[in-house]
Amino acid sequence: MEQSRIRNFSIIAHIDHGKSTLADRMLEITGAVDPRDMRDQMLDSMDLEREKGITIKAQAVRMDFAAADGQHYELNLIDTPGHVDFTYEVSRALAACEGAVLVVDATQGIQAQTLANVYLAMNLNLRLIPVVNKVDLPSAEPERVAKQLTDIIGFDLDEVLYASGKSGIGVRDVLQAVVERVPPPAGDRDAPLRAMIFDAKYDTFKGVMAYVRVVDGRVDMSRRLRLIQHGSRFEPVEVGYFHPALTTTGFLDAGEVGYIATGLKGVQQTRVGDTITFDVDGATDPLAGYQPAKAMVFAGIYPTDPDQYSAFREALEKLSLNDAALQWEPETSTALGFGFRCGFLGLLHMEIVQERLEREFSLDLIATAPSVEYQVTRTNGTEIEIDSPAELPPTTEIEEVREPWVKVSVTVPARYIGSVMGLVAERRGEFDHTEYLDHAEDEGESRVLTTYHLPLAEILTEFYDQLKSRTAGYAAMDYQLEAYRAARVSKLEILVNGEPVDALSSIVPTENAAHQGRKLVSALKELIPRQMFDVPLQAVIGGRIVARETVKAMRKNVLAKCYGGDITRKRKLLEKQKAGKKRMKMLGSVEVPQEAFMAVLKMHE
Amino acid sequence: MERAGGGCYPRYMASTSPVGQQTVRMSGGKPALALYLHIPFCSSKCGYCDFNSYEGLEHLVPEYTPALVHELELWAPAARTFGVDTVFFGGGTPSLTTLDDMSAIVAAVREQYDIAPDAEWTLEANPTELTREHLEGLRHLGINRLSMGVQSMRPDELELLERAHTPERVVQAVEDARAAGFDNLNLDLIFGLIGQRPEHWQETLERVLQFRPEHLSCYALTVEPGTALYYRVQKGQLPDPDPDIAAEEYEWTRERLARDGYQQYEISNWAKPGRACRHNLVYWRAEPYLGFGAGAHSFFAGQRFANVDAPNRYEEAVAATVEARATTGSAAMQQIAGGETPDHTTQMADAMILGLRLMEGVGLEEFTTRFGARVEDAFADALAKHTRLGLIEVADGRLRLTSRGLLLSNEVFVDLLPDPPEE
Repeated sequence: MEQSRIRNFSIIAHIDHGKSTLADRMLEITGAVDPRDMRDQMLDSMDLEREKGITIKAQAVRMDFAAADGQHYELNLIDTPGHVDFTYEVSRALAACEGAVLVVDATQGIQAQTLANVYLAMNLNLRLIPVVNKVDLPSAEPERVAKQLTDIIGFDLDEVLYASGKSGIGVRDVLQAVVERVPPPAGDRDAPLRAMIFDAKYDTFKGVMAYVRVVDGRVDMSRRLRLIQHGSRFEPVEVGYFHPALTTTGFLDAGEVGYIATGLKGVQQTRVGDTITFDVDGATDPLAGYQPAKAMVFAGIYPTDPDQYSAFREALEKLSLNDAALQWEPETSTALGFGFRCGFLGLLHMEIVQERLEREFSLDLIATAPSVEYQVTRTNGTEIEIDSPAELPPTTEIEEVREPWVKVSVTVPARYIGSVMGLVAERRGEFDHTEYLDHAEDEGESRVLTTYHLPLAEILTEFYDQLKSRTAGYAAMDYQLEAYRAARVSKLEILVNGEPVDALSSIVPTENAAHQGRKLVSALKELIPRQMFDVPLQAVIGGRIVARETVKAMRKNVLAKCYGGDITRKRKLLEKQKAGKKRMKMLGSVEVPQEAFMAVLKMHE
Repeated sequence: MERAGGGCYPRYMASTSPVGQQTVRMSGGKPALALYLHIPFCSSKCGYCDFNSYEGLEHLVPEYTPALVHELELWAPAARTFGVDTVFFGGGTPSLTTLDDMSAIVAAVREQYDIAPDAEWTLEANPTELTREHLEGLRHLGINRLSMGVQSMRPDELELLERAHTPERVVQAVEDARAAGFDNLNLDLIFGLIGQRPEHWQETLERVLQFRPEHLSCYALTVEPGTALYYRVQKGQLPDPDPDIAAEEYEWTRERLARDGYQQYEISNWAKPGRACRHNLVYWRAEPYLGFGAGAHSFFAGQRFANVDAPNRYEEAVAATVEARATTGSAAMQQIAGGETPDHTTQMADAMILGLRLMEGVGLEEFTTRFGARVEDAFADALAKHTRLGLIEVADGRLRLTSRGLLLSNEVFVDLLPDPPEE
């Protein structure tokens, strides 16, 4: 298809604002999916996405649209995630497009997250099409939301479209607007091939599948290809596009979106953001890649069954293929064995990664308390960065510790400002400013965008849940890393029977350390089964014991009457107890069930 | 009808000597054998009980005695080379069996087996329906040891356990038993009851000691899965029993009974000198026994096996076996479950786990003679660990649980079990 009749676009939306449903309607209207095969959230292929009702991974689909001018257009929709943790995925998708449909819920209005993605799109010079969605809901306020769009982002009122993904109202108009407003790609079809990898996936038979936007030239099956940055070479195994199922064509032209099956088995060889060209007489300059995502949250992840270690490593390798934000390196814990220290974009990212690893690779995993990355200046002047309590030098060797602070934007009805402020204050946060997004008759109903500064560590622990519960679910938030500031933090250690348990130690604000220690120790007391001896549990901060409990020695574990000589049954009962003991982790001479770790580690969340 | 577990009988026929037995106990010049007869019927099932017993199956009672008699006949040829020195009627509630039925069963036992003149004949009795006349009848039949399920002497505790009798009924039943001539009396008690305070248990034990029983069995309450009590605890209607209180009560019990001249010979059993239950010792010393009746277990010719639990199916199994014998000559007992021949490792573990329950413990030399391996080698890790923890000790060439180890015996036993095969 000539480039003048190709349009590449994304949909930007806050979670729950109806992006996936709108995409479903587009697929129906353009006949990309047979109505008999239609199911909800068509583009969300992961079970996890359907269950959580969110999009995690960027997905792409080619649609054939008969526009008002009677011409057929090739529309490539690249779906994007809506959650704050996946901004990186969004930026990758947007870089492959010339335009974006900005979807805003007519009942909710603009949210902090939407704004962040709008600015991302603007920076990439994408043409934006504002769409007020869910206009057929009884509580919809389309005019008010349209006014927000004009006031805050600066659209003209006549640019705004009204639609309902659910009923299909206005969806054809949105597609028509894509054709009319989004510029066609402007690559050089005669230049050597340059194709941007915006995602990748591993296929057992076809090797690494590179999801690409062809910028210049044409890719087909005839020539050997090369990744400009990594240097790896390969013969394409298959070339095609998404419909949304993979559809083989044997070629892709400049301006088009599709996939190249590389046959490469080494998952590390193909990096998202790299540029594919011809091996011989190829382009020399790579396309502007993506900024590698910066991990902000770190945790140790361990297989509960040590035998799964190598399977876990393989799973991480495969997963990082299409989750370039995931970082990992080997780590050992005396309590949990061999595992990996992993870096994530945020807590949801961490949760999603763990769930994907467990589901897609049948692993059983356990994660330690999440930590941020601290900068430490030692008394000898050297600087180190640490993301695990084990790396924190002794207090006497520390000149200063700095922790990451984030700028947090919260959109919320004005009447909840006080509640949000209270939460921020409890979390060592600072207020920055408030901005009215609109003015309702009832002042409390007006939507405001409030901005705060908070230590990142503070928003890792139940902050989002708290925010939601204190604002009746209305608040939406976004955050971005801002700066490092000096911090008063301590290493909280938990000693079981006098031995520190590395998996349970954490870096905590000094002012909360004692409280946190008491909480952990009393929780552990309930979770550690009684042993043959008294087991002291202690919380220690810088050598000082701040909490102490004792698991008293067990006194009775005896089988009752031997009924009618049924020795086999007695033995079975004992075997069951023995199997139970086998599942325990040994901390020195103390047997601790896996569940105890899980429960305590969950307390950090 | 299925034949679970295979036909074991012919194989036992071929085996004329007890295999793998420790020291061969003799009875009347032959290796000794214990007989267990199970009566699965109760007038009401107690809330804590997970034994193979049933209420409301009275319609099966008339056919049960003939079935037992038939089964006694079936096994008799296999037991010909043995002398029997203990016969035990367990339940269920054997004291509910009519004297006529008891008479038929006892006659069959005497007719088919070589019973020692001084054999121990025990019968389990529930004080609820026990009459002087019945007791006299039993004594007359040759029952010489009565084991009575008292459990508690406090009305509130008896109610918790769903026992139908009162403390007064116990007093009367014991009096009647003595009057009927029972001079070997065991009383079963349960301590560590839910909500029990040590002084409650002390009250029960003190009252029971006034009966001067020859034997006492004191078990800590176990809330067994599947029992009514278990469901009440699961639903939160009742708390779990307090293991620390049970431990305290147990320690007090050991001192108190010693003061009255009782010798503890097993974790839960005490007796006046010479009154230890011969039948119990057979189990703990891994000596052979044949079980008759629904769900009855046997350890015979080195194998452990059991009859089918359900009384109706047991009756059917016996009938089918008798019929098969008439037509084909095969006399293999049908519907035998769990036919298991413990391997050498399991036999060693069994010997340890059973033997350690006894105060006499496990004789180290005897063990080596029997298994060709030293306890110290076969169980080196477990021995080191539990000696260090103070749960076991070696004295006079015998390995025993320590005082503390008695109540924590499972901790030791678990480590004596062979490791399960890798999956």
